[in-house]
Amino acid sequence: MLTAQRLTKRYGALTAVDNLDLEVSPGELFGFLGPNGAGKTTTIKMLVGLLRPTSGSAVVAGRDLLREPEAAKARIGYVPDEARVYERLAAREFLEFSGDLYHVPRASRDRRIDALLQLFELKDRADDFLSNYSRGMRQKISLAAALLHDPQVLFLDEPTVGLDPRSARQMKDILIDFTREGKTVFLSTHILEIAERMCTRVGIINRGQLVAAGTLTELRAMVRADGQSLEQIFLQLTGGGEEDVRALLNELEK
Amino acid sequence: MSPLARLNAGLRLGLLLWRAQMRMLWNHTIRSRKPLYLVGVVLAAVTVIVWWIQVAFLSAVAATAASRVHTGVPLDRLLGLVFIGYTAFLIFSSFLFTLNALLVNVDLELLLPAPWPIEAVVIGRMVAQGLRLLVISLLVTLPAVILLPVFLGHPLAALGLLAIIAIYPVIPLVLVTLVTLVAIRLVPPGRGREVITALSLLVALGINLVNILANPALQGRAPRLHGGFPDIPVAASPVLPFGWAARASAAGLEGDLARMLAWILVLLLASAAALVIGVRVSGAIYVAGWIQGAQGRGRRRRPAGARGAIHIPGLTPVVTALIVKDWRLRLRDLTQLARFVMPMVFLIVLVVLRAGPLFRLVHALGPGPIAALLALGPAWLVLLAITSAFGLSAVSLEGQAMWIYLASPNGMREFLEAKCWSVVLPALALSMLVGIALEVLVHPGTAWAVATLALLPIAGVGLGSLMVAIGALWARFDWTDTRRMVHPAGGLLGSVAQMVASGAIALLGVGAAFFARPLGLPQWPTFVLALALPCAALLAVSLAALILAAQRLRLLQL
Repeated sequence: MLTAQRLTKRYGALTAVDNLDLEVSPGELFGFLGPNGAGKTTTIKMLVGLLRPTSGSAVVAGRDLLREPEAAKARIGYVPDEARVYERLAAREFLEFSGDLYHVPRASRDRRIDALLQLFELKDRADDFLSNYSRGMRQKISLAAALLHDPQVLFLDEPTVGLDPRSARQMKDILIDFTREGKTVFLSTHILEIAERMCTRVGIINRGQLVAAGTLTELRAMVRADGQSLEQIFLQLTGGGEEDVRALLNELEK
Repeated sequence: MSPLARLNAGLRLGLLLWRAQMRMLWNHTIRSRKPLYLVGVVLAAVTVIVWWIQVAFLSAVAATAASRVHTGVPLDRLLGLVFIGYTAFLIFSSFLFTLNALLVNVDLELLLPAPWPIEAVVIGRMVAQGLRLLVISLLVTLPAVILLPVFLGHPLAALGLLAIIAIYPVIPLVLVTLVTLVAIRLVPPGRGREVITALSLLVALGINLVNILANPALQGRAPRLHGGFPDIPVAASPVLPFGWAARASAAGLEGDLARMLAWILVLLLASAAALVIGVRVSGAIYVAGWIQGAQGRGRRRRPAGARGAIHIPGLTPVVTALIVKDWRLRLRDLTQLARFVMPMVFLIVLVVLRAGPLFRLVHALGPGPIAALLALGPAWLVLLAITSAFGLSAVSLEGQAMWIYLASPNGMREFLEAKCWSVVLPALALSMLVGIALEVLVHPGTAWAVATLALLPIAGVGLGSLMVAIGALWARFDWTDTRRMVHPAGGLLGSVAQMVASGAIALLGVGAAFFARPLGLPQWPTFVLALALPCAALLAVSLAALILAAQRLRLLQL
């Protein structure tokens, strides 16, 4: 469903993503983890066609993003880390606009909008301007817009930031249902508990390089740490062990 | 905390804000090392130096004239008028700035929770604004302030004048701040930016209306020059700030330094008192007002029954969706709307006021191509106003939500097509309306009217597309404020392009009207060809610019 080969992004001397190889199968919920500035958002932006890779290629739902960007994008849903939307549009207007952008026929568009507003419990606020929405509500409306055209692959960058526990739970259920239909979810998150509980496979990126990818069992085997939590594996792979953190805290206390 | 401690905190915060502003200016210009910005800095420096040389020369002339000619004009009253003018400048320039600074500036969310008293935020803003005004004032007057006392033989008075310039803005600034604080309380929740735009619109409209209605040059009368100057005794009043400043300055220039110091002391004490009183009353009002005006976001619902699919014949659903979305955003943002309404209002006022002479002129010319072109003038202005107001910002209007379109399965051709139609359609609708109405009123002859009216759709498509393309080449997606969406270079190029297009069309049209017959050419076809040629060139340039814009947008990486 999703293949990236030697995907690289350079900004001058800085290599944000370095020769990243990745394969995600249909029906998978793939968690993409990494410390701040590791290259998660850059990778996702390249995979949804917002950033042009310096080199390498990416194929999404059978379409090459560089050669057939429009065909690939039609099969992608994307929710960015910060939902920047048109503040002076009402939520329903925004969804109508998104539906038109993704060529959803008008009749099914309106039906799906009603269903999504209901699902995200936003029906009562559908005619409010997005400027009046909280961050969490904007996140929900962005997810609704991403689901509107029934994509094959859904990319989510830190999807639970700003969501209350009930909404976060709701989002998890929606994503799991989505993968049960044989579709793919690619999500980046800082919350390792989410990745541990929800994701079928996990990839860990550090300083632009994919340092590990696999199921939790495979990752444990990789670092020879039976029974360790994902957090411990993550810290071990990204070079920020508990001892380092403790040393830094001691330094701060001085 | 005592008022003095609050005052002290405000002064420190003001200096902190000022330093941050200066650092940002430095980073944005010199430190950015961008050639265009560096050229801008050098040009600004050269302009200031040239201005200072001019002011120094005028100061020398004024000092020489004052020593040779006795006008009988009391110097304090003359200077009082100068300070009244300066006060007006301070009030007008400060009011909108202060309203903006105290109501909608994003750094308020940083300043208000910081461990500074609320009054310090208000005073800090005032100090930063005072320093800004001081710099502007010195940039304009510094050579005169220093050289005039020197030429008059009282060099020490220059120090006094500098002190007056530094102290004088305090009282107007305190007054403006207090009025602003009251205004903030009246601002409807979440509508700060709109209110500021509406006020700027009203101020600009008021100034222009006064100018149009009262300026003798615009009334067809020669300006009346009086032998003397308006004698306003209150200008040197001993109980008003401009009177104190005027008396102090006059005393200094006449060499009476003791009297100068006495009046400066009065000004200083009154300014300090105003500051202390301002501190005492400002804090509580400000917090209540700001929370109401900027933080309290009310629920805004769109009108019921506004739903329903909009379909524009001949355009794809994606293009239509973009056009509808753009117009929803524009109509709901007063700052966007103001860019369109302002020129319209001025145009209407001007046409209404000048309609008589215009029609007399056109009728005196008789029917023909010149009358038809003159009648088209206002419609052409409408076209220019709309295409520049909306075209240059059309692409930047996407703002940080640009990712939504870039992530969608659509190309740049459709995007630019939608942007062009969103500008061209309203521009054509309105300009054609004005054009047809005026051609009917002027009746220059059906054939001539048709020829000139046919110009509008072709030129409208060309100009609208060109403005969109220029706006795309210099797109700024980081700004939500329409005035900032247009890059200065793009704005300049857009204006130049409009001037060139208007000039070429007018020149060729008028040329054809005058020279067709003497050259033995058929008049109407020559006139039509003369208008068609620049239009064809405009369309070609627009197409080339759109191709460049599409290339630029395809490389966009967010």
